[in-house]
Amino acid sequence: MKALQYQTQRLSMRFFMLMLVLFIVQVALGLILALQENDPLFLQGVLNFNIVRADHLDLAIDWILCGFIGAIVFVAPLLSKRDFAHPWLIKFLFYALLVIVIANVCTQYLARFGIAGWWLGQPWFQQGREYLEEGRAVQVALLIGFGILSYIVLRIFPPRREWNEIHWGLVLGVLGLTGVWVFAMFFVARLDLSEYFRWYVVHYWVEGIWEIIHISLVGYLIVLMFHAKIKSVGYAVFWGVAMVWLSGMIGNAHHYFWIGTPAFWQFWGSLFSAFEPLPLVFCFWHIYLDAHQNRKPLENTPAFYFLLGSVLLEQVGAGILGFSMTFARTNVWSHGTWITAGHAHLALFGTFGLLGIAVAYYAVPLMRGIKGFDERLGQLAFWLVLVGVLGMAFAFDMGGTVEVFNYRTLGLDWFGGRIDPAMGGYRVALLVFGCVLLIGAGLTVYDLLTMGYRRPSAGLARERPDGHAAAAIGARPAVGWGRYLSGFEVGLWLLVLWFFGGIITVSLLAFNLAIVRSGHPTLPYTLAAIGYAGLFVATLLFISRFLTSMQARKRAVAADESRDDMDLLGEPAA
Amino acid sequence: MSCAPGKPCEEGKKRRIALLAFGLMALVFFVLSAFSFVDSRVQVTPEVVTYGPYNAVQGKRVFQAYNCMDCHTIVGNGAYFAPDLTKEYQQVGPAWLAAFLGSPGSWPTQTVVAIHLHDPAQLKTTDIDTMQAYLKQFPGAAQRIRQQGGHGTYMPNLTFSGPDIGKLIAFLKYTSDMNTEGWPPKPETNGAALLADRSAHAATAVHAPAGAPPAAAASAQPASDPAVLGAKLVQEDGCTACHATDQSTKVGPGWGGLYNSQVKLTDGSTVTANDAYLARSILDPNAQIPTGFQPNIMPANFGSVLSKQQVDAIVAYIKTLKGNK
Amino acid sequence: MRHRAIDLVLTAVTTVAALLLSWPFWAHFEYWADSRALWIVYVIIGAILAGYVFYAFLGALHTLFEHDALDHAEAREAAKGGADTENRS
Repeated sequence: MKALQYQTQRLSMRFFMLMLVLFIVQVALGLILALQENDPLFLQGVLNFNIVRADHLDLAIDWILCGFIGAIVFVAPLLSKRDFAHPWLIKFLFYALLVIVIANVCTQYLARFGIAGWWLGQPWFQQGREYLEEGRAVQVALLIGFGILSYIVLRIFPPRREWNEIHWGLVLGVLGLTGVWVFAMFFVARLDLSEYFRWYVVHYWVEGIWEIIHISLVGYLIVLMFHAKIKSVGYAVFWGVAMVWLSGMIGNAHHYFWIGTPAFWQFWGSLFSAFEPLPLVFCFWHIYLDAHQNRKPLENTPAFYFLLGSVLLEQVGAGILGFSMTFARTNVWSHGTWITAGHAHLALFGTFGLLGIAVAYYAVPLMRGIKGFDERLGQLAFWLVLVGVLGMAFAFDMGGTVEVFNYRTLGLDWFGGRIDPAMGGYRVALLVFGCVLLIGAGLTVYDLLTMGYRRPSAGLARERPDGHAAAAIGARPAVGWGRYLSGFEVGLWLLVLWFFGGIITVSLLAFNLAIVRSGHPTLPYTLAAIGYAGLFVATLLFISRFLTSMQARKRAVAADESRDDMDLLGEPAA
Repeated sequence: MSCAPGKPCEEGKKRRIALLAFGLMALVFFVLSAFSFVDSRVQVTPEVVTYGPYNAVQGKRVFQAYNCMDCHTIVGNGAYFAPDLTKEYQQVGPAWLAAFLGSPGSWPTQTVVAIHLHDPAQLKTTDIDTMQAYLKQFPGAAQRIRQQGGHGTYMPNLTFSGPDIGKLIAFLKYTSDMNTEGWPPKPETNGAALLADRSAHAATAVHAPAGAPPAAAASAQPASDPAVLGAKLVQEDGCTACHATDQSTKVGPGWGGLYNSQVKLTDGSTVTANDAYLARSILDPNAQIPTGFQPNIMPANFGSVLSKQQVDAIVAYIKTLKGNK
Repeated sequence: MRHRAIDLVLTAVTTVAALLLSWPFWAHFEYWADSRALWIVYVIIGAILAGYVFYAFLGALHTLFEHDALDHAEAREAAKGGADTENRS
C-alpha cells in the first residue's frame, strides 16, 4: 500500500467527511420526497414538497462540490510535487463552505411564507428557481469560495510550462466554476431570458465545467490506480474535454426548445446534442484501455467500483438517456415529465456523485494509513447504491412514459386525479428503490466514516494477513464470467446498451404517430418497457462482468505484489 | 504522447482546428442568442402584461418567493410533482385562479368563482360578466368546478395575500401569452371521453362517468327531508365557503341561530329572519344587506341555478342550525 | 488512407442520420430569423460543424487505440529485456 506523499493532502479529509454527511442527508430528503409522491399530504404544512426538493437539489450540488474540492485538494500536491503554501486558507474554505451549506438549507424554509429577502431588486434569502434555489447571499459567498479555490490551485501548481493536460483541465475547471457561476446571480424579469441564463448554469456549469473536472480527476485516478502513462491519459483528457465542449456548446440549445425562444434552436439543439454522448463513449474507452494496460490486481476495489460506476452511469444516464430525449420531436413529449427526472438522477448522481465517493475510497485509507481494509462492505454498498439508483431511474422513466400518454396525449387533467393513479405503481417502485439506495448510501457513509477505527473482522484478518492476500488463494485461470474482458467484448456491450437506447428513442418518437395520438399507447409502452428494462439490466450485467474480470486478476496473477511507490506525476505534455 | 513514431506529428494542428471550430460554434451560439431576444421576435414581455394594478414582473417575484417551481413546472421546467402552469391561465381564467389562490387547500365551486367574476380587474381583463360565458371561454374552469368543486386539494394552504394573488394571476397571464413554439403539444383526442367510453364498455366498470354536475345529481334524489337536501346543496353550491354554520363570519353572515333572529340592515331598519327573508337573501342578496357587510359580493344570480324547491330546502336547513353550542 | 475513407463514410452516415433526426419539418418560418433562406444556412453550417465533431471523435479514438498498442508493445519489450516496466522516461 502506498503511503501519503504530502502532509497537506490530509486537508482533503474534512471535505470528504462533510461530503458523506451531506450525502446521507440528501438521500434521506429524497426518501421524504418519494413518500410525498405517494402521499402528498405527508408532512404537508410542516415540510412542503417544494422545500424538501429545494434542499434535495441544493445539497446534491453542495456535496458533489465538496467531493470535488476534497479531490482537488488531495491531488493538487501530487500534481505539483509540493505542499500547499497556505493550509489555513483551505481550512477557512472548509468552514466557510460549512456555513454556506447550513445557510442554504435553512433559508429554503422561508419559501413557505413567500419570503425571498428582496433588497436592491435581488432575492437575498432564497430565489425559488430550480437548481438555483439558494438566495443571492449564499451565491455571493459561493462565488468568493470558488475564487479562493482557484487561488489555491493556481498557487500550488508548478509554472505553466510544466503543466500537462490534467493541470490544464483542473485550472480551467476551477476558473470556470467561478466564472460561469456569475450567470446564476441576476434576477431577470423575462421568463424566457431568465430560463436562458439558468441553463448557462445548469448546462455549461454542471454539464460543461463539472465535466472538465470530472474527466481530469478520472484521468488522474487512472494514473494513480493503474500507473497508466500520463501522456496517454493526458491525450484522452484533452480530447474528452474538447468533445464535451465541441458538442455541448451549441448542444445547450436542447434546453431552448420550449422556453419561449425561437424555433431554430430546435434544429441546432437536436443536431448537436445528438453528438453529446461522443465524449462519454470516448472516455469510456480510455478507462477501459488504461485499466487493462497490465493485468495487475486491483489494489482498492471499492474505489475502482465507484469509479467504473461513475463512468458507466455517465454513459447510460447522461449519454443514452440524454440522447433519447434530446431531439425536438422526442423532447416535446418527455419535457416536463418524470422521464427528465430519470435522466437527471443517473446523470448527476451517477456521474459526479459516484466519482466523489470513488475519490474518497481511494484517499481515506491512504490518509488514515490503513493497510488492507475490509473491502467487502464497500463492494456491497456499491451494488446497493447501483441497484437503487438504476431502479429509481426505471420507475421514473416508466412512470414518465405513462405520464406522457395520460397528460399530453390524452390531455387528461392533472386536477381530475387521473394521472396520479395511472402512475401509482411506479411511485411505489420509486419508494422501494429509494430505500435500497438509502441503505446503500448509509453503508457507504458508515464504511468510510469508521474505516480504520472499527475492528477488522476475524475472517478478514485470517484470510488476508498481508492485506492483499486474495492472491494467496493461488493462481487459477480466470474463466467464464471472470475471464479477461477483451476490447471486442466491451464494444459488444456498448452496442447492446446503445441498442436499448435506440429502442427508448423510438418509444418517445412513437408518441408522434397518429395511432398513438388517437389514444392507443401499446407501441410506446411496449418499447419503453423493453428499452428501459433492457438498458438497466444490461448496465448491471456489464458492470458485473467488468468488475468480475478485474477481480479475477487476483487469482490469475499470483505474486508480484510488491510494487513500490513511484513518481505519479509523469512529465509535462510535449 | 500524441504522435506515433515515424509519422509526422499533427496533434498540434488538430488541437488548433478544434479550438477554431469551438470558436465558430460559440459565435453561432451567441448570434442565435441575440436573434432570440430582439424586439422583432415579437415575444411578449412581462412589463406589459397586467392584471388590475399589478404587472407580471411583480408576479414573477411572488412566483419565485414561494418557490412554486419546486412542485409545479413552468415552461416544462420544475419538479413534476404538480401540473405545468404555463398555459394555466388560458385554461381556467382569472376568476377561477382568484377563487383558487384565495384558499388553495380546496377546489373552488361555481359559486366561489362567480363571486370573483365581479372583480373589476377580472371584468376589465376578460370583459366577461356571466358565468355561462366565462365557463365557455375557460373550459378548464368548467371541468374542474364540475369534477372537483368543493373537494380538498393536495396543495398546501399557502395563505396568499390579496395583492400576491393579483400578481400571480398577472404572471400566469404572461406565461400563457408567451409563444412557446407549440409546447405543450395539443391533445388530438378527448382522453376523458375516451376513458369514460372504455369504462362503460367494461363489464366491471365501477367508475361513474365523471361528468354529471353534483347539483343535478342531488336534486334527482327524493327529497324526503328538505333539511337533509339543503345540507347537501350548501356544500355543493359552495355556500359554506363563505357562510359558517355557526354564528361566526367567514365572508358572509354565519347561519347559526340566524333563523327568526332580528337582523339589522344597513338602511337602519330591522327585519326578522323568517323564511321569506332567507329565500329573498338567496335569490336577491343585494336587496337587504345586514350591517357590517358589503353589497355585490354574493352573486345575485342564484335564481338561475336553484329551483324553488331547492331554495326552500336550503332555508329548511338553515332553520335547523342553532347558535353557538 | 483506408482509415480515412472509412472515417469519412462513417461521418457522412452519422451526419445524415443526425440531420434526419433533427430535420425541422415542423418549422413555421414566421420569424425572420426562422425564414427559409436562413434555415438553409443553418442546415449547411450545422452539417459541416456536426460532421467535423464526429470526424474529430473518430480520429481521437483511433489515436487512443494506437497509444494503447504502443504502450503494450513497449511493456512487452521491457518485460522481455527483464527491465522494470515502470521505469518510464
